[in-house]
Amino acid sequence: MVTINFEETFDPVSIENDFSQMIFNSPQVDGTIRQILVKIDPHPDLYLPNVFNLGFGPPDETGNFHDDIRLKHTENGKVFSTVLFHGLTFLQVNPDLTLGIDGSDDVRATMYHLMFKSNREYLSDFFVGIGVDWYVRVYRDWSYEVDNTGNILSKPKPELFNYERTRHDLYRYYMFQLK
Amino acid sequence: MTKLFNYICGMNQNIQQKIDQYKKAAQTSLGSNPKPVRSKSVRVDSLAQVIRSQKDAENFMAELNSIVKRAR
Repeated sequence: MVTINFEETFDPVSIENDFSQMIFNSPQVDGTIRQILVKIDPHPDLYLPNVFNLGFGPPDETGNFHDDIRLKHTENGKVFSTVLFHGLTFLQVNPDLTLGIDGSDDVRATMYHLMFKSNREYLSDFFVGIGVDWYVRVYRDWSYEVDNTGNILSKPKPELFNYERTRHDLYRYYMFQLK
Repeated sequence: MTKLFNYICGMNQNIQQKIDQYKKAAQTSLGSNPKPVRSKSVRVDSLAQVIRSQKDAENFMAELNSIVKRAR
C-alpha cells in the first residue's frame, strides 16, 4: 500500500520555474539510483485549455519519460508523495487549472486508483478527486449513438471520486483540482 | 479532539511552508544538472479521444467544475 505524506518527499535535482518539469532521484531496491522525470504538460486536446496532464517516469532521450518501465523503488510512498506534492504546488500557483492522470495501462490506472482510495482522508485536505467514465447515449429504439464510421460514440462523464469502487472497477480517467 | 485538530492544522501549516519554499526554489531554478529538453507529449490521451468538439469540452468542464464546487 502506498502511503502519501507530503512531509516526506525527495528533493528536486532540477525544476522548471513554471513547474512544467521536475527531476528527482529515487533509490532502487537493487542499490542503484534512478532519475525520475515529472512532467506537467498542457492537455493535447485544444478544447481543454485548463486541463494539464501529470505524469512521471525515468527520462527517455526525447525529453519525455518511459511509462512502460517497471522500477523497484525502495520508498514507493515517497516517490508518489514527491510527484503529488509537485502537482499540488503547480495547482496552488495555477488554482484555476485541473490536473489529469490518464494511466497509460491498467497496471498504472490500478496503482493510481488504489493510491486515491488508501489515502482518501489525507488527500482530501488538499485535492478534490474526480473519476471519469465513458458513457454512450441510448436512443428510444435502444440503438446506440455511433459516429460516422459506425463505432459507438462514447462521451466522458465526471463524478466525485467514488471510494467504494474497487480495483476491478477502475475509472477511465482520473482528475483532481485544489480543495 | 482539539489536540488532533491542532495537530492536523500544524501539519498543514508545515506543508504550506514546504510548498512556499518549493516555489522559491523553482523561481531560482536549481538546474544543477542538465535539464531535459521540453518537448510536446506524444502520448495518445484517452480523454482527448472522447472530446470531439468545443461543445463536448464545455459540457464536460461545466459538469466537472460544478462537482468540484459542491465538494469544496
